[in-house]
Amino acid sequence: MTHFVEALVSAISLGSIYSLLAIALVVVYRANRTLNFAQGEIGTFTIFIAFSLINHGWALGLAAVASIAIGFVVCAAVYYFLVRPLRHRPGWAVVLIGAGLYLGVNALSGTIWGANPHGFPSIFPNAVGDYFTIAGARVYYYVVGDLAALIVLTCVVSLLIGKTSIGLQMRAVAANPQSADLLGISTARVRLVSWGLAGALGSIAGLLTAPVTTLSTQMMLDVLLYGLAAATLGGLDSLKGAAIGGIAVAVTTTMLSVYVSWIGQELKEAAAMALIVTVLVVRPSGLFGTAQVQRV
Amino acid sequence: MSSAGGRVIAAARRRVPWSLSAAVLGLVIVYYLPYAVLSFHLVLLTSAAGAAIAIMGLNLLFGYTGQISVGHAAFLGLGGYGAGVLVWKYHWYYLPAIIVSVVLAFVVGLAVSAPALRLRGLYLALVTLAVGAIFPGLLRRFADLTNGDNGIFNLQWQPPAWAGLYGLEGQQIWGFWISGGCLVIAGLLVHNMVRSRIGRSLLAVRDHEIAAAAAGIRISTVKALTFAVAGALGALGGALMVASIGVISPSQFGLEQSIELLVATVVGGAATLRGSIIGGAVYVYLPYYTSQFVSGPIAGVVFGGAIIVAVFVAPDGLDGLLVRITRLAGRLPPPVGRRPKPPAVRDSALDGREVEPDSGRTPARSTDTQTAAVRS
Repeated sequence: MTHFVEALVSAISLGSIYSLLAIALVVVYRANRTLNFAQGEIGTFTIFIAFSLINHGWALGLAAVASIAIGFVVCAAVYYFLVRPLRHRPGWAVVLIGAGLYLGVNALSGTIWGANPHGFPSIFPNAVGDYFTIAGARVYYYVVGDLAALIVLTCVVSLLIGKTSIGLQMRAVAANPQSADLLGISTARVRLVSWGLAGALGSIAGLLTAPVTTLSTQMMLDVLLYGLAAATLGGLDSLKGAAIGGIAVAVTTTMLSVYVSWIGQELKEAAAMALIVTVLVVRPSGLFGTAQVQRV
Repeated sequence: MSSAGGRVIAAARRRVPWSLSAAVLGLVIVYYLPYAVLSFHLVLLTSAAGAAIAIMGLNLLFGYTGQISVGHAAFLGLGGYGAGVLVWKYHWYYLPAIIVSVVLAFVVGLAVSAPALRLRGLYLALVTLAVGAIFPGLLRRFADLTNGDNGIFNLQWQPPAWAGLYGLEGQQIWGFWISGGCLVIAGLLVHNMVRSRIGRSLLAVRDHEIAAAAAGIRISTVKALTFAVAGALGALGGALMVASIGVISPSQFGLEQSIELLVATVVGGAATLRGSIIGGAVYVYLPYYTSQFVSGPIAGVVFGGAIIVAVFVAPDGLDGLLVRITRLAGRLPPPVGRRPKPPAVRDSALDGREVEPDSGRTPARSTDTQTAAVRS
């Protein structure tokens, strides 16, 4: 039981991060019907900036806010300067931009800050003694913090989309960009805000990842992969799906690697992906996604 | 007109198709090229030929049929490891080993197409991404067969005695002959495939799946076949790269390589044969030259930047750029079957709703005749 709870707790901590990145991907997908493959790398880049700021004597909280703001600006700029000009081009053009940024930003971080991993302070208490026990298993405060961050941010984004004017416009663009435009909504502005929001969420995901895995150019690679898996599993246009999907992916991979011995560490990704593909074959639009209907 | 006269005319018109002449010319070039270039470039060209074959497969899948794949490197790995393990562990000859691994990849491609028949756009991209991402893990898991992260070395296909090639240089020439020869033959096959009824049905599926189905095309058969052929070509490319370079390890077939293959396909030129060959060169030479100009991680920055610049400067890939330049000189007729559809049509490779509201004005580029004919 202790073993199980410990595995579950670590899975939830990881899953919260996957979910946050998945939500970032979903926000972009809802706005543009595309994925930003560089979401994780831009997040890493902003955390490196926070790292430099901390080294210059900034407080952690201030550096964290700065990195989130930079994430917003960078992703909004990516939309405005690289994605928006391609709006008359087929969708793969934007995917290619994402691939270029993915490789380029990763290498840029490596150029500026080097390939060696750096320690990064956690915004939640994460000293050796900062835990309480459930059924004999240690639950560290930062795990609770990760989950709390996920819940709070999911609520914030949901409220933003559900209750505010810009959120209404975002929903309109997600439902039908042409009609939204005819109604006088500035689709460009909605998309700009959406990309920025996703960038901020990506930075937050990075802030939660860096203390656990150490800050390096590699830190978001897995997070992006599982975030993509989570977003697809939940349905690419569903916030709820992304939040649940991230936790589900993390719990599944962790439990499979812990309890099914022949899967082990090497095959846990394979097993999780196989499971997701199976789910997708049964439900092609993910668990909570809107089914794509085509009018002929 | 008498029937005899008709026969004479028919016989006169039954000329050798230019594609066959081009293939023969290609084989001649492949035969003599090793004596014209430095051995160092020969090795790169051999890799480029292997990559070009693999990219032809990806191009069939992505460029012609509109099914995005972010896991193509797994098929290269399947071919490379299939052939490599049979040669290394079971002491097979190379020829049967390559044939077996290509057939294996064909079957695996069919298997991968099963979920692909139900999924589209980015959901499909994720499935292929999953295949690409888990493949290195599988290689490491079955390390007793694949030697895991240590990789396999000294796998070069040694030239047979009748070829009269000896030593390291002889092996390099032999590797290029094999890869280049396979490239020419694969190119001829793909050329004939895309110019046939099958090829037109691929374009129809890409441009409008529902209309294609209504016109009597079996969507599932076309997609399954394309996935299988793409997998087989990927495996052939991978096996040839291993046969000429002689080294293989799991990190050669990861997600990054899959992304690079997709990039090379589009930067070379989607849905053209020339584009695939240019793509093969891009796949090998672009990282090589960026690492010549700048060293260390900044090479990656240049590489990523080059991709982004290419998207803006060459919307139809480098091949499209070349065609545009040549056509400015008034030499070439409009290309056939190459243009990606204009944005006003739904159900693109990636999504059905990419269209922006302000795209109401007709794009300046006109559709080419062949896709238009298929679409109508």
